[in-house]
Order: sequence, then structure tokens, then C-alpha cells
Amino acid sequence: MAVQIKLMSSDQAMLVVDKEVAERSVLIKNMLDDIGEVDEAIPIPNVNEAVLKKVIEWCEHHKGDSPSTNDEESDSRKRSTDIEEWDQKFMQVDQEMLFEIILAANYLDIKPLLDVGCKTVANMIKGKSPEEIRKTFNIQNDFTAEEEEQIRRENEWAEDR
Amino acid sequence: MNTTTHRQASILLSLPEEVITSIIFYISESSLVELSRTCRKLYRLCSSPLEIRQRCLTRRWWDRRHNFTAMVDCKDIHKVNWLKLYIHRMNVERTTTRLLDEIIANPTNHINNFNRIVDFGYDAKDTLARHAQVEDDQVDDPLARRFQASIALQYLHRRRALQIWQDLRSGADVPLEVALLAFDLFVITGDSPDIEETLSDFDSLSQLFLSQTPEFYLLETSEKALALITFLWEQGFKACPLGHYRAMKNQFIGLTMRTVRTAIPLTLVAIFCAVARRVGMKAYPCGFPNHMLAIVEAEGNEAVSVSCASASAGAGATAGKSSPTTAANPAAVNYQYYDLFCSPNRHPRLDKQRLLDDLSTHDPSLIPYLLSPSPILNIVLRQARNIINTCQLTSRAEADVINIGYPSINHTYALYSAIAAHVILKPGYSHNYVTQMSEICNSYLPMDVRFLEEEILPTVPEGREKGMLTNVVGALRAQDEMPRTVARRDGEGVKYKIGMVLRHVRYGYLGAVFGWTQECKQGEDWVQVMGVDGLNRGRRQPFYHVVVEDGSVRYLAEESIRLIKPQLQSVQPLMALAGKYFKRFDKENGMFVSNMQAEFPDD
Repeated sequence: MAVQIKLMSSDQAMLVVDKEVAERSVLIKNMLDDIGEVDEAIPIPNVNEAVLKKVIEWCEHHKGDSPSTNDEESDSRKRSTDIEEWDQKFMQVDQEMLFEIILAANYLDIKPLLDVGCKTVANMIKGKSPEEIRKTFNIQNDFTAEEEEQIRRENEWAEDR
Repeated sequence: MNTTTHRQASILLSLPEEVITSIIFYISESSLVELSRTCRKLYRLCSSPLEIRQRCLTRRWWDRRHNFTAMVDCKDIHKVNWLKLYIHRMNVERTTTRLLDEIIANPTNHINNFNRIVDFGYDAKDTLARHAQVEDDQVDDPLARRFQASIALQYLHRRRALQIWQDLRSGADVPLEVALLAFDLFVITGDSPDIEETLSDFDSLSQLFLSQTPEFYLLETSEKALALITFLWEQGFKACPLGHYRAMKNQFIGLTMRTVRTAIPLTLVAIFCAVARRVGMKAYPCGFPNHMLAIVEAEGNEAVSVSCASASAGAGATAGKSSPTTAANPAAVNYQYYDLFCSPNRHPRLDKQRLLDDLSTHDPSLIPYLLSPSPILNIVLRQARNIINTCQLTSRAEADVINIGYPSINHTYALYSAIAAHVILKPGYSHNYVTQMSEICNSYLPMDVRFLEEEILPTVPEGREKGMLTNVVGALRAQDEMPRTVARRDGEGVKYKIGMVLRHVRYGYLGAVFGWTQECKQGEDWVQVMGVDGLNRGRRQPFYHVVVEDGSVRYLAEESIRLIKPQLQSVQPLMALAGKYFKRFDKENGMFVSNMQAEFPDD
């Protein structure tokens, strides 16, 4: 039987997962490497139960993935925002949850999940005007009139001759 | 007090900056500017020099005016205005694509549009290369797009070649191999290696030589020279078979580096000098009468006479000019002469006295000059003459035999390269070049009318000829700007449509229709020669402009055409030129899709 470990979410929920699955998180893996076998639950103070469950769901699905060899890929390949179908569905959550997942992936150091999250946000921005982007993400336009003018000029630099 | 309504804070903005930066990494090129215009924080993060620099680095080619390598090497990232460069680049890329779209969509105004693209210099190259390699299923007009983008790329290459020779003319320090690689820029196709790739081939060759010659730096100059000559022969850079002396490829140093390596003396000498310089030797071409030699300059401590040492440096362009005799020319004492057309085991080093004997019939005051390094400009002109001779001295049939086994090179472009070198590097003007260039622009490269205007026209003396050339130039431009005559279909008279594929009824060759007339519109001479009246339906039947598999264009009577509905593979021979007239091949209907709407809107 697979070795299991316990995780404690920020709202004190206990989750039991396969060690192999939990080790998709570099943070947890390093912790386990340092302290060895433990019975007590590992506290994950920055992530609540709902988010932690989502993250574990993702790790379960991707436990067989080979470690990424991003270094060999070309920069443009790395910048591709293609997302595999399962991940796309997985990321169909409200904005709050999406950013919680991104934050959790960042904290737990799960690079592939962080990438999927960032790509999802990038795809939400794609093709939108500044005003539409502001609306989507609740962003206040805090530029002064002078700054707006300056940026406009910057962008016109070397515009069509 | 703040009276604006309290809005919910943005979660996106509340993320740690490192996370926002990770998101920005995935923001597409086109969205980055939009995102940066939303608020101060995103502006700052989007335009961070690190991020922008990274994006700039994804581009392969930059125009030389940016001095991009220096920007990348700059230790202090904030000293470089990466954002300004990036925005400029984005504008160039967008405008290039728009101009290319216009060229594809309209048969007119090509001269202006191509020239506007090449004015962006190499900033446009990546974009053009991308369009030139577009896949069939990516766009609606892959054939036309690849065709026109390749034409633009080739034009961009020609403009670069002109620039290199203009630099040389103005006295800039242009390495010999670069000055000669400019010729290659006229004849390479869009996706061939550019100058930089060939230069790095020279670097690799030098490294290979050093790794195979570990004792190199302990050798005397003559031993070094011989080691390098032997190495290059073993690498295949040796005398070409005499029967192939006039193979066109032999005139092009880049093609010699990458295809058949045997070559003529001039090319071998240039390759030798390029590698020699990379391993720290001083080597120069020597334009000996009727031959080309390599000069290797002995290092200071090997000098025959102590008094020579001071004159050895900077022997390039001016060496020898002021010295009346060889014996009194101190620099020449340090020179060793090598014949690279001769096998390394047959003593390629030439005895100075023998060379002097060979020159005994020459004006003595010229001898020091003949035995000194030749100015690079002269070598370029010599290569240009070689190319012109190769074009003119060999008949079509001879050329076919001589060039068997060599890469095929478009003779028109080769000739153009030679003319351009002459026009730029040699003062004065030649009537011949004016006529040939006018013909080249008229028949093949209308956009190069600019070369006529900028380089040739100013050299033509005032008078009748200048007037004529001005008219030629004006006519070329007017023709390009004139709206095309529109041919409407009325009734059922014309059977076949633009894009249909056919075989000639009698000769069987493959072709595709790109134009038609209701009846034969050729002059009476043509009608007689072709025996049009002997056809069943004579001259009063529809005639078709057809692009044929051998690359030619023909004018066929309707009755000579047998329509076919071929598979994609069968029309491959037409693909090279199809993009000039058609958007794509329609597999279902077995015909090309017309890109001739301006002239044939009903087809």
C-alpha cells in the first residue's frame, strides 16, 4: 500500500494523501526529506481546505507526469499558452478560486500547476482592450492624465511611417 | 473625503509581484501593451527591463542600427531602453505584416510596399521569414503569402548586400569574406543561411583546425601557413576540376562553404584568409595578374631584417603604393606568397624571385603594388568581373554541362550582383550596366527600380541617356501604380476559369490558368509564327495565360487545353510560381483558388 501522509489546512481540516501525490509539491517534498517519517499532520498555514482539496485533485491527476524539462524548450515554446483539456476543465472556477489556486501553487512550489494557472489568466487577458481588462479584474485606472499621455506617446514611437 | 464608490479590490493586483510576473510571462505579444495600459502597477511590471529584454531575445534578427549585441551585453540593464526597442519592433512587425497583406491583396503599388518593408531593415526579417514558412492550414492564402514573403526576403537580402558595399566604398572596415558574402545575398533563397551563419561556419572551421593542430602556436609562420593550407585541402577546399572552372557556384563563397567546396583561386584565397585571421595569422589576398595568391605576413621576430618590423602593421589597403621598388619596400620583405590552387604537397609557397621574374614585363613602378595585399574593394570588383565573364562567356548549353552537380543559381540575379558591385565600387558609369539593370527591373525585379534611381541615375552624365533612364524609371513606377484593366465575363464565351489545371492537348505539359482573353490578343507576328490561323478555331477563340510546370508562362488557345482535376501531389511542379497568381490549392475541386480578383473579378 502506498505510504500516506496527513496535511492540515489553514482552517484546521485534516486531509490524507498519498506521499507520492503530496510530493508534487516541492515544499512538502523538501520538508519530508528533512524530517523523515512523521505521524503528525503537516500544517499548510496559507491554504484553506477548499483550495487544498483542489490542489490535491490536480496532483492526483498529474502524479504520473514526468518532471518537466523546460530548459530544453525554446523560449517561444515555453511561452505557449496551450493548456491540456483536463487542466482547462479543472481551471473552470470563479476568479477568486483561480487566484487562490495560483497562490497555493506558488506557496507549495508546484511549478506546473502555477504555470497552468498563469496561462489561464493570460488567456483571460488575450484580445481584450485595457478597459475590458480593468473590468474583468477590478482594476482601477490610477494613471494621471499626463501619464496616460506619456504612455500613448511611447506607444506611438516609430509608429507607421 | 474620497467620494468615489468603493470598489472591491482587485485580486489580480493583490498577488505577490513574482506571481504577477509569472502571469506576464505568458501574456501574448499583442496583449502586453494593452495590459500595461490598465494601471500603474501593471505598467511597471509589464515594462520591466528584464521581461522586455527576454522578449526581445526571442527575435533572431535585428537591424544593425540598434547594435543589438551591444545592448544584450550591456552589464547594466537599466542603461538600455528595452521598452522603446520592443515597441518599435512590435510596430515594425505589425506594419510589415500589413504591407505584405496589401501586396498579396493588390496587384498594384508593389514597388512602394516592398520598399517600405525593406526600409525597416533586418527588423522585418523574422516576420517575413515567418510568413514565408506559413503552413497550408494556417492561413487562407498560403501560396501567395509564401511567394510574396520570399520575394520580400530576397529583396531585403539584396538591400543588405548593397549596404555592405556602400560601407566598403565609404572606407569602413569590412572583412574580405563579408564583402564577398554580399554576392551570395543576391542568389540565396529566402530560407538559406544568411551571412552570420556562414561566418559562424568560418569560426567552427578555425576551431577545428586549432584542435587538430595542437602545436600551432609554436610553429613558424611558413609552417603555420602550410598546416592551414593542408587542413583546408583535407576539408575539401581545393582547386576545382578545370572543366568546372566556370561553374557559377565557384564565384560564391557562401555556397562554396556549404555545398561543393572545390573552387577557383579567388574564393579559396578568401576562405584561407578568413580562417587564417581567426587563428591569429596575418593573411591577405594578392591580386597577381591572371592569378590570385595569398600573402602571409611573417611575425616580427622572423623578419629578415630588423628595420622591417616597423612597416609590417596595417599593410592592408595602402601597402606598397608609395615604394618605388620591391627591394625598398620594407613591408614586402615580410611577405610570403602562397598559391592555393596548387596541392599542399607540391610546394604552394612561391619563391619571391620567381614572382618577380613573372612580372618582368610589367611596369616596374607597378610591381610593389602587385606584390602587396590587394584592397578588399579590388577583390570584390575582381569577383564581379568573374561573375560577368561566367554569365557571358558560357553559352546556355555549355553552362548546363559545367554546372552539373552544382547548386543551380539564377543567372539574372548573379549578373545583378556583379553589376551592383561595379556600380557601387567603381567610379564612373557604364552604358551596358544601365541597359542590363533596366531590363532586370523591367522583367523580374520592379522594386529594384530604386537601385536605378539611387545608385545608377546620379552617375549618368546629363544628356540624352540620362533623359532616357529617367523615363524608364518613371515608366516602371507608373506601370506599377496603374490600376489593372478589368476583364468581366459576359455570356458563356470563355470556358475555363482562373485557377483551373490543364494539360496541353498535344504536348501534355502541366499548367494552370491565370488569365484569359476573349480572343487572341497577340500581335500579327506572333500569330503567324505560332500558326494560330491553322488551329481549328483560329484566332477568334478564347486564349489563356497559363503558368507551366517548367516555370515558363504561355498563351494557349482554348482548343489546346485539356482540363484535369489533379491531386495535390500532381501540381507540385507548379508550386514555385503558383503563389504569384493563386491563394491556395483547393484539394476538393482539384484547382487553384484565384488571387487575380482585381483583373478577373468574376472568376
